[in-house]
Amino acid sequence: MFYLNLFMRAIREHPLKGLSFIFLCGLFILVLLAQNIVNDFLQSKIANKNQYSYFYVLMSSNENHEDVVRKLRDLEEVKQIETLNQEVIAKEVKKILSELDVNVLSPVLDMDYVGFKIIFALKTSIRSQQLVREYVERLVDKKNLILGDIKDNISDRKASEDFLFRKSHFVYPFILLSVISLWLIFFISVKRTLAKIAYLVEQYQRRRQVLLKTLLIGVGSWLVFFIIVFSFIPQVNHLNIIGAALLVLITFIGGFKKDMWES
Amino acid sequence: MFDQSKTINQKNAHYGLKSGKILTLDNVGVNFKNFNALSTIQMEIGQGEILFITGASGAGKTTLLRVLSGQLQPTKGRVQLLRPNAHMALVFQDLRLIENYSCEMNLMMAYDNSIYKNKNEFVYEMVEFANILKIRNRLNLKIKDANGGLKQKIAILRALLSRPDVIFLDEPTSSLDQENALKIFELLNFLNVKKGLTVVWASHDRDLIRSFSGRIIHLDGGRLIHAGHACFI
Ligand SMILES: Nc1ncnc2c1ncn2[C@@H]1O[C@H](COP(=O)(O)OP(=O)(O)OP(=O)(O)O)[C@@H](O)[C@H]1O
Ligand SMILES: [Mg+2]
Repeated sequence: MFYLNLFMRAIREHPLKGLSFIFLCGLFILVLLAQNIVNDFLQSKIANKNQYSYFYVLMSSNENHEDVVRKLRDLEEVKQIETLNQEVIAKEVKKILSELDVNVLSPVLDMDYVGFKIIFALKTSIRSQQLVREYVERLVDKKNLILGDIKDNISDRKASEDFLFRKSHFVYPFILLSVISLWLIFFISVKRTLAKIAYLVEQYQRRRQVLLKTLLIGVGSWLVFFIIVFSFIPQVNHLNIIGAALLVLITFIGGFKKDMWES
Repeated sequence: MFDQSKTINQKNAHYGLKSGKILTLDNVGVNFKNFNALSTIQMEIGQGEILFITGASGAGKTTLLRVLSGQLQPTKGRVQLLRPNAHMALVFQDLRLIENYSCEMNLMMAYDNSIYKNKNEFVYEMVEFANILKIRNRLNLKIKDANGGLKQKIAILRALLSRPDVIFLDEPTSSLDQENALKIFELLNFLNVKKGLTVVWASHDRDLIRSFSGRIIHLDGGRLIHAGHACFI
């Protein structure tokens, strides 16, 4: 209790710095504990658009496309159907045609098309997806229909997204490193304040190793406090706590020279 | 003024080696890089003694006090503490008070619950000392708002409240007038007589030294050039 009091006295001597340090202790623990959550979040953020498999359907506007869409919507494999605007259609026609790698008669290109993006529900098997695609072929007259291939989120990821996806693995370490650096800066600063007080306590009370004890008990209590506060977080990464404990211990070992009052 | 000096002279009958030595320095030297701050110091401090250390600025008084109080390891020679568990308190020349704290908070730094029965006992003693030095009503002042004299008194009281066996004072009265300086000297003298406090006082206050007939050590350029009584200076 004596050492905890002493620690809080140092915090109170420079309240802004002290409270920032305690806040950073909390942030440090939060970031450590929430590693899995942060990573999941980041990856879902980037992969979100491509979460589902899909294929494009282009058909002549002469076909009863509303009926086709309604029938497809009734299928449980289909999660969502998006109507494509003309620009996308024009783009997709070219793309799909080139992908189809067939010689398409020019009349096809001149047709007035309506387009849809058929998005599959999550975890629909490839076989079911193919069945849905074949079903569309049966519903629409073949010469009025252009079907895109079924694409999944992995194969369709654009180069830039792929890049981001790989980069997302570095986002967490970057956040962690920033928080640790900031924490260390404030730790050293608080330690400096504390060193002076601890020195005086050693001078005028019969106590030894006051700085080390105060830091261990003071900082330790706050870290443990935040671990308890944030213990509700699911998927806690316990390995991080061990890593953090080692880091904290290492920073403690790097001591100050005894007399911080020397100019 | 003269009367006060006289009372001190009378009390000086108590000074001198009482019951053996508490500290001895054997051929001690201190170098800072190439600079020789202290050389071949041979001296001893008796238990219950009051000892003055004099010398011009830069003579090595602070360095000697730091060696004696165990703050500084000498480069050469041997320091022997003959009562290893004796508590030594140093009143620093730069005082080393915490600016943001009140005077009282600074004094509280000396509250050691292993030597005081409880906080009340400490506060009682603190108030008693504060009354003697007439600073009782200024204890709530922050150090950064206190004048030099008050700061020095606080620094001295903080050391005394740690109930030391030996107190080292480094120019403790440099910001005080003669009257206050004598008041502090009398307080230390009182504790010396009553509690057997050993006092080592570094000063170049000539008036104070003249009124003192105990042992004096004179330093010059890091050398001990005289150890004896005031009248020989
Ligand atoms: N840490 C240090 N590093 C280098 N030189 C030092 C150091 N401490 C003291 N000195 C030098 O040692 C000499 C003695 O210093 P000291 O402080 O002991 O003198 P002093 O008698 O206390 O002087 P003053 O009356 O000014 O306090 C001085 O010349 C000083 O410059
Ligand atoms: Mg000095």
